[in-house]
Amino acid sequence: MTRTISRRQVLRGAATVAGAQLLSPIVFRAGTAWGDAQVDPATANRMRLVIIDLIGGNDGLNTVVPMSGAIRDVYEKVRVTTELPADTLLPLGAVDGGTVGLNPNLPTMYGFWQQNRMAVVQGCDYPGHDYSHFVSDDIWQTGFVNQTTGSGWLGRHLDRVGIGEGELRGVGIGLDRLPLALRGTQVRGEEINSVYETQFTDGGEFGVTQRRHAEFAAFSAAPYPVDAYYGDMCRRARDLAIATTGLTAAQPGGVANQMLTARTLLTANLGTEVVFVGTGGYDTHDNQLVNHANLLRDLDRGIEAFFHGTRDGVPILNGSTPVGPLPQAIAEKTLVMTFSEFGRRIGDNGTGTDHGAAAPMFLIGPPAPPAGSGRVVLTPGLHRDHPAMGSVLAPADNLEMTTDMRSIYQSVLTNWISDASGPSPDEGDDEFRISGPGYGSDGSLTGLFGVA
Amino acid sequence: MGEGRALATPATREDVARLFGRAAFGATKNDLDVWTGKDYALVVDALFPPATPVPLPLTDENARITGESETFNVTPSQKWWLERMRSTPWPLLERMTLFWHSHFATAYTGAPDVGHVMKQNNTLRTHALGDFRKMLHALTVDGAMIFWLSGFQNRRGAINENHARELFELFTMGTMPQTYTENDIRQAAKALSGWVVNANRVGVFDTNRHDRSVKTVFGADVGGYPAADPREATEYQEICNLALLQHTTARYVAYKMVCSFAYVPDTTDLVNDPDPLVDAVANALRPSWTDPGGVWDITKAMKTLLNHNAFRYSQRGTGNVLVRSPIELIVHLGRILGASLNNNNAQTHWMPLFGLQRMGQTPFRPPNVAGWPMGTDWLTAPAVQGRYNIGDLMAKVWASQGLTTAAATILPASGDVPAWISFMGLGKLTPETQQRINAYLANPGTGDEPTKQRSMLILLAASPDWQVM
Repeated sequence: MTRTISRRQVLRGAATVAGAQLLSPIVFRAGTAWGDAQVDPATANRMRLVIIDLIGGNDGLNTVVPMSGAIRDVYEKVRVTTELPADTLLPLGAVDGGTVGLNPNLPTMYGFWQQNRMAVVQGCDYPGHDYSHFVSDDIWQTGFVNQTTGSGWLGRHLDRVGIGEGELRGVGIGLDRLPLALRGTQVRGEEINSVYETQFTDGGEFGVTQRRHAEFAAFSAAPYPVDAYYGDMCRRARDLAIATTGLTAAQPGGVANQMLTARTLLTANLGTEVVFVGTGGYDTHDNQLVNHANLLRDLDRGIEAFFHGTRDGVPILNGSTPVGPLPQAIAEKTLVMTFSEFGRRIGDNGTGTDHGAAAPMFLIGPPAPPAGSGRVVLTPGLHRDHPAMGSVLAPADNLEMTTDMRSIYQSVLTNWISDASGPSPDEGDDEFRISGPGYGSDGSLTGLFGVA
Repeated sequence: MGEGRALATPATREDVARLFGRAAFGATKNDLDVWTGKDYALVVDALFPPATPVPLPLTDENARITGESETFNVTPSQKWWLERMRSTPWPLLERMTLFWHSHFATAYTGAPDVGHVMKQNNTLRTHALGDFRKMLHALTVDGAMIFWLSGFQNRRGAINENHARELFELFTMGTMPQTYTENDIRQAAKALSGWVVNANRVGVFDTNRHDRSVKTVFGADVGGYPAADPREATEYQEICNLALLQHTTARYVAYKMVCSFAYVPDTTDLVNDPDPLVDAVANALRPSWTDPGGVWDITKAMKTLLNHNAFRYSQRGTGNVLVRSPIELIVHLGRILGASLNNNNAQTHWMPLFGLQRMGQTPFRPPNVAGWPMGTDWLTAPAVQGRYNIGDLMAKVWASQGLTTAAATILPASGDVPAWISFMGLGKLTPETQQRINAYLANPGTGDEPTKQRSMLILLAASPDWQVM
């Protein structure tokens, strides 16, 4: 496949939209001394999505690992230094060619598996795979396989549903720049590192700082495209400082910092609906056994902190207050999903693995709602086929796609986000109306979600 | 005069402000006074050091490397470099070194100690305005780079593609569009095999780790030499040279220069539709096609860029266009205030690096192998708040160095807006910013003159005019 439009073009496409068109109003949070506008209370009913980008290319084959059968034989042949012993794996079940097990560094996620709250979709990729981190991550974030425009798939969702007054509807956490996924053509999300990095440093001179901040926010009147983009951000910076005043999030380290920040925002009545968390280091070209284990352990602790509020059984403290479980009202409306720009090659390269193609995605949902409630429910278990691995004599070089990732995006939009109990129906993305075995009429992945 | 080159006209105050603001960590009032009215091309020439490398009357780099050996404490090196940027007589050389640091982005965390990236920093500076071919060769076997991109693990029988891919994607040809194949990467990786790093943090070739097969890259054969043939040790140069022969390389490097020093071009198809400034800079950078081994003259490319009408006049009709990077802002404030960025004051020594972290640019710690953002990608709401904070932080740094006693002579009176424009290194203010400054002065929230002066510094440093040039 020829892809003529580059990564830079994608980013540029996003950046050329004039600042004035991109307003996502963050207004004053209720209850603050500055406040006036309030977020519509109905937004508390929204279904929520936390998406985790494992940046660098997660080794899918050492995350959902061949455990027995013909695929295990090939695995043992080509994984010389990065092989995970079969008896350490957490069993997931049978696939074509054997069985697979979960990497042992993911005990919390395995707990959700055992509670029938986790789905594993195998062989996720897109047609015409690209092996560049940056090109492939852009494709995952836009959902555009033949890139023709620079909007992200969640940004287009925000375009369709809109962002109401005072809302922080889409947020990226800990990436230093707004993820492409959250850039729409009309509106966009916000990017923050933590709720502790949104405040001004020049406090303490009350009347003066207030005057300075007011004029700073008023730079939004700048007339020219780049000036105006900057000026618009001045106003947003001031408003974000107000909107996040007093918010706290425990920061025990690693991806848990971002997941607990996500939790704070999801529960803060800011209308937060989609959260994009990025965590790096997955480009394991060398020293993979040690590094990959640490990365997955960190991911698992982040998920544990998000849902359970504990780490290794020890309460995480926010100040001196332990962080408890995710409040039930939020938990029953929240889906966590992981992806990575690509998996890695079937065989290792010495102590690591080079860039590969298809890999599994994880989705973790709430406990099943009451039968007959009509609410959306994630179908737990293994979905789709395990990619072919060749034979011991002729191992495959790469794992080929068995699931077009666009079908998962479409399912999340039209089944999960649009659940009848939420106030935000989304008809889905025209770009994702793909066809093929196992994809529904709108392109969504058949059976990923059901109705209770 | 070549096509697109500015006519021999006197530099206006705005010309000087823009040129220094984009290429020399910002102008001071003195710079504006000295250079305004001089021939524009002469002002450009004056930014270039007389020879490369230039000995500088600053901290000895070798002592710095030794000092940072066997440690992960990068802070002294970061502060040292920031202060060098601020106090050097040749800011363009440091600005270029910073540009190449983002191009060949390497983080100190990838190597066993900070000395590796300090050594790389020297190498980048040595070639920063020299021959891109020599720089590419040096960086390909640079100690910090060999660790950063897994080269030390790339050996016969265990070929590691990490470095070869980024050599093509990020350092030479780019993906605008991609003009190489996966097979080119795999073959080039073999040619790069065998390099390790010795105790002096220098890349060394180990023939026993080298893949001796014939590699076919862009249709040309490389290597296949008998065991221990000395030509094995320069196969990496052949790969670099082949990449330099690809027609996308000069345009890709020029594109990054234009993004860093002028504007982010609208057109990004480097093959069929290059931006005119990108094309001009690329033509100046690469040698003639009849001289395939010739010099890739970075100085010539930069002079072309800085003299070009598209650089000098790109603001017409569209306002200012270049979002300055955080390091440029901090260093510019240090220059304006005469405040050291390598200070040891217990209260303020951390503030410049803290300011940089909030804005998203920590020296020797680029976010990933592709380096720092460009253009409006810098601008998230918290990062722009970080850009507001630096006026306050640097005022505190300045005050802590006992410089406030001279405040009356250094900082203009709060109400003297024309003096403030010069003090900040600007040629003018847009009417919109002027309006905000006037609004502040009409209702400053205090009657205290030093506080009003500090507010002027904070607001002007946070203004679109100063942040975007």
